[in-house]
Amino acid sequence: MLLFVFMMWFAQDDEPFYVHYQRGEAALKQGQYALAITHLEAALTKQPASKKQTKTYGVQFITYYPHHQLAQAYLMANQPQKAREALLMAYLYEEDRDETTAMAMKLTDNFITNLSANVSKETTSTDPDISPVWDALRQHEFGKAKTLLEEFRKQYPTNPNLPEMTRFVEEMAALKDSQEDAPDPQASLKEKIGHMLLQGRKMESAGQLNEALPFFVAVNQLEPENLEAKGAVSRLQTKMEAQGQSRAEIQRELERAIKEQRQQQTQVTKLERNLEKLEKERDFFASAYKKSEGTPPPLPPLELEAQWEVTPTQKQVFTATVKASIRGKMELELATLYINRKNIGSWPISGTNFQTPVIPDFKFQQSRNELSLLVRDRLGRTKKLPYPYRFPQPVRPMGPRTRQLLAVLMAAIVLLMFFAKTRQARMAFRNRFNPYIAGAPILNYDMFYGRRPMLKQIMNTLHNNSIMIYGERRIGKTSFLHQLHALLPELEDPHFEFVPVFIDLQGVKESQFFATMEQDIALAMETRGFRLEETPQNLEARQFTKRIRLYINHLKETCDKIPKLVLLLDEVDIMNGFSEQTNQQLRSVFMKGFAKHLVAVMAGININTTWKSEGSPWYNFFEQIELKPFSNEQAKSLIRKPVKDVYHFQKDAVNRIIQVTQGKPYLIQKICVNLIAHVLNENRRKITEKDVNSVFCEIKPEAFTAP
Amino acid sequence: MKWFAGFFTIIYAWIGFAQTDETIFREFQFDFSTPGARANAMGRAFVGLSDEATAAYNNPAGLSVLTAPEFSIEYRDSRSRFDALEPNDKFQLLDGNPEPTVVDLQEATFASFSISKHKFNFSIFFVNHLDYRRPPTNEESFWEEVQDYFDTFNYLNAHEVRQIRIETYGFSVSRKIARWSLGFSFGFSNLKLDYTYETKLSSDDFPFSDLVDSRAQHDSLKPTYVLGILYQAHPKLKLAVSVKRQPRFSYQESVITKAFPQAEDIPVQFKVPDSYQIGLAFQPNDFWTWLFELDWVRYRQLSSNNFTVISSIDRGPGRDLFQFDPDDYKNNDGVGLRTGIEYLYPKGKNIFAFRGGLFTDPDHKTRFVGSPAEGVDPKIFEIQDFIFNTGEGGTDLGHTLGIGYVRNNKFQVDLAYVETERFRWLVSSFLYRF
Repeated sequence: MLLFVFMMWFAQDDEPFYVHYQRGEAALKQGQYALAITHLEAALTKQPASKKQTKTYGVQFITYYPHHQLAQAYLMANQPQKAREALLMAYLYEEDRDETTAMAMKLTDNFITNLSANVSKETTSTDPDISPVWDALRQHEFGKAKTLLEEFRKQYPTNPNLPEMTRFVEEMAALKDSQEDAPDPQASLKEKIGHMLLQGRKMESAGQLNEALPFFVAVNQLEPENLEAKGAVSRLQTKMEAQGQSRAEIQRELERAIKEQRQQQTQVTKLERNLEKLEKERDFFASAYKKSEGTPPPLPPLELEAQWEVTPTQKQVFTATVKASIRGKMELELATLYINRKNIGSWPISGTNFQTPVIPDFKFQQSRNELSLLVRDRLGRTKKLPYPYRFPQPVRPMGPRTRQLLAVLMAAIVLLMFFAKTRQARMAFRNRFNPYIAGAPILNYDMFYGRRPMLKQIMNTLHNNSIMIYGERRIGKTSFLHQLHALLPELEDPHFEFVPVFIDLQGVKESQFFATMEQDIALAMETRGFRLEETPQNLEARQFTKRIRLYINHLKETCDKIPKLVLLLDEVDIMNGFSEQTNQQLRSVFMKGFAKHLVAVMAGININTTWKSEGSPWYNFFEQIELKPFSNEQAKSLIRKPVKDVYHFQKDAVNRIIQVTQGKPYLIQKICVNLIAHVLNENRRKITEKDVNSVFCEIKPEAFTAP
Repeated sequence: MKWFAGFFTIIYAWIGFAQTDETIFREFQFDFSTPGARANAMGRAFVGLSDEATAAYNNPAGLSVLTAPEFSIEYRDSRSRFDALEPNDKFQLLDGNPEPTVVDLQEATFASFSISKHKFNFSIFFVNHLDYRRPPTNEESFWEEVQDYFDTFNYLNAHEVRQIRIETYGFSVSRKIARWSLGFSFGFSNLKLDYTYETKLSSDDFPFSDLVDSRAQHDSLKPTYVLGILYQAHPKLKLAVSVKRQPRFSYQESVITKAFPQAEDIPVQFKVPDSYQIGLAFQPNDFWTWLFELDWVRYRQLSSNNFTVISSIDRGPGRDLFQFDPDDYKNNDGVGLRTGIEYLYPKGKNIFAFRGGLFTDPDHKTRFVGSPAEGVDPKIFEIQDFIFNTGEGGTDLGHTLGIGYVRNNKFQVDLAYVETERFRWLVSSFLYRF
């Protein structure tokens, strides 16, 4: 703390420049020129450069033009040389950018110039020698200067400078008055008291006692310790008594004098206030006068018209003849031609119109160009006359040969496509193409017909639900699960990453139920680089839960999105034979904390009826979806699309297939695979109703007994 | 000077600490940054500059440059987010849906009037440091341990905070001596508390239950002061320090716990943390300003030995009630870094300001850091750690943006947008220079 105080004690006073500037400005306004000079100089020491906008503190900007104000202060302090220097600095820093400041600077400049003018200047008949006026001004004798000017104006009534000079001197006189109006109050009071005492004495010696009394009373009021006034009041009272005036009369006279003095005082105060007001008004009018007198009317903008002629001579290489003509209302001085901002040439002008010389075969660099003429008139005004020009791009009509070539090309492409397709079909036929699959589940998405919308529906539901798929035998449940297994990893979900695991429960014993499921999950996790110790043969539900949790934790660590382990359980009817406890245990896995990362899709035949009862552990657990036989459209699609362009099913044949298979996909596939084999044997590609009947008769017993 | 020194000695005598283990105390945030949209828009780093009446409380030293009286007022629209319990690697949610709470507040948060004469400034001010409110909340959740045992527990967290509010009313003086400015502000901080709080913890799997049911209402005044020093190192560079000494309040809280089955009043202390700020302002020209600030809030004062532990855990028949130690709770002091820039575009009598900034907001929540005591099931510590330490503990990076308009060097309006992970403010302020 002591160190801090010590440092502050010796630290240099460091007011910012704007504080000095503001104080300097205020002092200048109050006519305290010496103070103004001190502050303005201090401001300039810290910030020598004038600025139109300079920051003070906070979010405040001021116009900082101290040089011209310093010039004014020096001028008023009768230091014209320093005023001149300051003014030069003001011009150097372009303080005259501001209109009002420019006018003030001009006035200051004029005054300094005139003040310093050679007094021995020769006079003419209309130009009097006004050196006595300047002499008077140097002596601050403004009244004398004014009188001299009045005399000059009588002698030289046509001289235009004299009225202006008179106004200027009046302004100076007014300023001087205002400066002198604020003298030392003590001196002023003393002078006033002396004057009143003198008047009082005069009246007393003339015997006008009643008239003398108010003067002494006034002095007594202004300066109670003034002994002469005090003595004079008592003396006058005695004299008045001696003249026969009663005490009451004298008292009245005394009171009247006091009252009079107070009224006078009030009057003086009022007058002072009025004077102050008038001074302010005078400053305002003077400033307005200076502004109106000094501001030259702005010049109107230069009015010009240009006529351009750019004639391309060689369009391919952007060559053209350029010429331009200008028409104006004022005397022009100079014209300069620019092409793409490059000066091409300048020409002096006399008169209001002008035509540029013709520039033949000017080589442009590009198609789009900008030409412009910069024209200056005799008053120094300039105007830019731009002309954007772009070389015309000819539209070339397509020739007959091109048209023929295009037509041939298109025909060739169509033919090629046709031949390619025909060849493809022929090759397929030759290779005994038979895409239908009878018996095995459909693993190929291209052969997965009729269930795609349902597949989409399930994938949209899987985020938060487990699903039960039920339907009769051979209706496509296993194929459905296989499709889910193939598609779920590819699903581009914004939030979830699905990890499907296909688990076939056919023939699984209850004791190995959890182990079987865990093994399939472990295999799936191995492909993702995660492996736990080998699955015990009789895995219990609690261990299964723990291992599932570990798998999910691993998925959470490695997946970018929220992981969903999807158990695709096929042939779940077998669980109907398991104990309720085993079912409960499996269900409880889906109730654990990590279950938000676990869902199941279970497929079976009779689960919809057995699991629907309130007694089942799976009651209300699943979203149920039934797989039904194909509709006619779905069946037609499965029949025709896989062999499109290779074999042709006649309409009657298709209807017959639908009729005999009742829309069951397994049977459709089976009859189709046999039909294709049948027509291939006969080396043909058309399939008729007769073929269908024939094949149906061959396979009918098998089809109806199929598992 | 003697009275000044004596006054300081008295004020330095208060050193106190604070608060309880009720979760409502762990998450509110004090605001000791300079008020005003201009200050907030520049990364909340204003101590180094402090050249307008909005700094009357935060660093009065800066006000000594003022040459005219100023009046300022700030209005703030704030949105704060309070974290809820979230599953982690130890506990998974089985039931319930605890969600983060979002609280919106709109209010006048600062006002000041400042007069200057001959390098001396006097200001009066009002400032809000804390306004914490929570609507009635009743969260019930059921959790499972995800490690070996799959044990579960129930947690009820119900509370209503009508207000925990601190406002300071005071005056400041500052004086410029050469390149140095010294400022001092003194005021009375008013703490208003009104809340009810209830938590219940229980488990069916192991002996563990806890209960806290409390309520408190309080309104009192305590003195506070700020000391600020600013040094104009170079016409383009200012350095400043601000030291805030904050009060400690005491009040009674009526509680029911396992230890006090009947309602009982217990004394609680509430210490507003002291803070220290070091700032610099670099103004390469009239139009650009760059600010930097180090902000050290002594949040550690909220915890430590004087922390009041209210809850007591029942560990089953035949066992004593268990209470955590106050040392099990800790706050990090955390030094915040703040930086901001301002560009001014004067056009005649109009000035347009464009501002932006960045700041770090260190984790200042009270954290449970206890380690398992001998003879106590470590799970109790794990659960306490889980339920008390919500939200991530890292340092947030916040950003600010703002604009301002000044007319005729007198009328100034500013707007700032402040955002971090935990809160966002829209601050508007008005300043008038006479």
